[in-house]
Amino acid sequence: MIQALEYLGCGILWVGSMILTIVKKNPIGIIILTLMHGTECFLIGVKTGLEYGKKLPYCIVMCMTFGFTWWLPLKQQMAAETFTEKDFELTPEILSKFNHR
Amino acid sequence: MPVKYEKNAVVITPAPEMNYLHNYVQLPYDYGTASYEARPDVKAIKATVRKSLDDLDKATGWKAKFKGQKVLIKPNLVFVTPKSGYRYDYDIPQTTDPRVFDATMEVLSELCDDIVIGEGSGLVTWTYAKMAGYDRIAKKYGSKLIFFEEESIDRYFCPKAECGQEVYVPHCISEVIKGERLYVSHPKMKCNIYTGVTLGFKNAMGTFSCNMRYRNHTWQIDKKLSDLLYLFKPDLTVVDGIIGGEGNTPGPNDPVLMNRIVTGTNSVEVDRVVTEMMGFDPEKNKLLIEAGKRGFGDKNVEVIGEKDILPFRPAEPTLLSERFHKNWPGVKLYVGHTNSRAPKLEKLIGNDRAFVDAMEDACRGGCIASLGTTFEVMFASYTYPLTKHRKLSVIVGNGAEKDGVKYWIGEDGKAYSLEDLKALPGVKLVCGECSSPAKDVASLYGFLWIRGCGEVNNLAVRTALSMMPTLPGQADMKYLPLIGVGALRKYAVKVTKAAMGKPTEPHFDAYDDGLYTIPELAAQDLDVDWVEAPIPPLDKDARIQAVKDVRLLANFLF
Repeated sequence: MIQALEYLGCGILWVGSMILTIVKKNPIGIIILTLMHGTECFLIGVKTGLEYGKKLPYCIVMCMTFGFTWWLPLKQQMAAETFTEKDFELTPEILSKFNHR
Repeated sequence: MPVKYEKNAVVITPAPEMNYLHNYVQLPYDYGTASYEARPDVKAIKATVRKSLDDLDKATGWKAKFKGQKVLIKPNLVFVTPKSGYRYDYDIPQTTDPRVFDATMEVLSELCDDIVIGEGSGLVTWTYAKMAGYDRIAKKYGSKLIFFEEESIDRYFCPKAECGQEVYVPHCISEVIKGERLYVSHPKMKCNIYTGVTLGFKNAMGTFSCNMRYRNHTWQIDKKLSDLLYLFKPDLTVVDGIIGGEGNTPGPNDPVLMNRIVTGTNSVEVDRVVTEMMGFDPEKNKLLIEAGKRGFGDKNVEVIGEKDILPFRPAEPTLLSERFHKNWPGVKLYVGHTNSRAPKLEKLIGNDRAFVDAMEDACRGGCIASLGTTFEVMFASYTYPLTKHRKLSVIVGNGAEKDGVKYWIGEDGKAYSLEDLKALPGVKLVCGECSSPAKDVASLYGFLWIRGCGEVNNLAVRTALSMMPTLPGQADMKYLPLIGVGALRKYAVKVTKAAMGKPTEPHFDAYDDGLYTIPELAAQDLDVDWVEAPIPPLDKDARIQAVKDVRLLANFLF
């Protein structure tokens, strides 16, 4: 849910910036968003997306549009799905929680 | 024709003891890479599946029959719900574990070049296949991924069938029926509120179009599914029993650490063995009884491996159980039937519990099971604390008759007339086309009278409405855009095909519990298992009707 709201927020920012550019002839919003997302894209966004298994053009489009709201959840999911041998041990907690053989 | 085995076998293979609870619903991000292949759980699952299939081959020689053949493999996708979808802190084990499916695909791909993965979850299969990672599995093995509900339908008559005589199946199933493609059923080991368990041949429910499917979720479901075996049956069954599912599937169920893979060449016998392993008596399971009566089992089957039993919490197709009352203290059932399966009403007060149970059971597999599923979804939803104490009277059936007056029996053993029902407090939900005598009792100016027989979606939506506020089954907003796109896509494909004269749905008449019946056949056709009955070309009016038959609700509900 949080991610959907973040995407929505990003969309509102873009639309607001476009309105500012068209109506007030002031492109500051678009410039800031492009610079911020461009920097994120260059420094971490594309790298994270590629590591996650996404294609380069997709990474660029998503990162330029949504910035950290796109790449941060991917990074978090990768961290959550990186396991060690210990994660596959059957612990007493697991056995007590579920019906098991 | 399906593969003929000289001997049938069922192989039970234990998997090494370990924690398999990571990614049993959705593949991880690194699927297909070296890091995925190096995971201990993935290695163990692959070794177990391979051993099971190798042992089965030694007993039956199935690999030689499959070598170079075209294959259709069907997993069992229901809802794909990671833990974030419900208020539980574990994933919901309703869907064939994609890690196990991948392991089976690996073995099959060594034998066959043309493997099609096909599934129709009855929901938004495109979305759920993506969520679970089946699209990535298909890509890895160069397989086509088919969504049955988007396929145009072919028609068959099954003269020997008891009730499912006219059957509509997706076009790609025709290849299986005609023996041009072998069929592998890959279910998950889990309970089912309609049929007790859902395993190898019950998995065929997913080959039906939406309308066929809803016409099957009635009291005749066991017969209908068994009748389908006349048309096609699995040539190989692989049951994913690594993490089983207990409870009220297709509502949210609970994981069982089962650690078993079961494979076999006769799906009825596989199901019989697995049912026993789940702690149920296969001799009492109506689905297996019906399949056995039609002669689809094999008494000479060899069972290889230990049939060790771990009792699963059964699915409860009832609103009268202790668990249901504990979860929903404000929900009361009033049920009355006059069908041939119902007990006769002799007295208006003091009916015992066995009588009320028998009355409820008179339409087992129909509205009651669908209600049970819907309540289970609402129970697992985040909004449950807000809905727990809502008062709701559920009225089911056309009423039992005594002295020309209709009555519905309450849990207290008392018979309630229409006037009594109207006087009940709270919201009143009237379920099923047959319950029309009580339709004036339904709340919201009659809107909570659920028309149709076995129309699950209609029932689920109105039940949820009567228990507002409630959340849909998949409450993780992250997936809502994907579900929305999937539903639109499915609807667009179906409407387009219908308009082009290639319908994906048969006509749906939800208002009786009759099933499609066949016209008179020639004498020589009566002695065969099936007869192909091509659907005649559709004229303009028929195309318009076909578009209408793609019902909005059935395609948009998730």
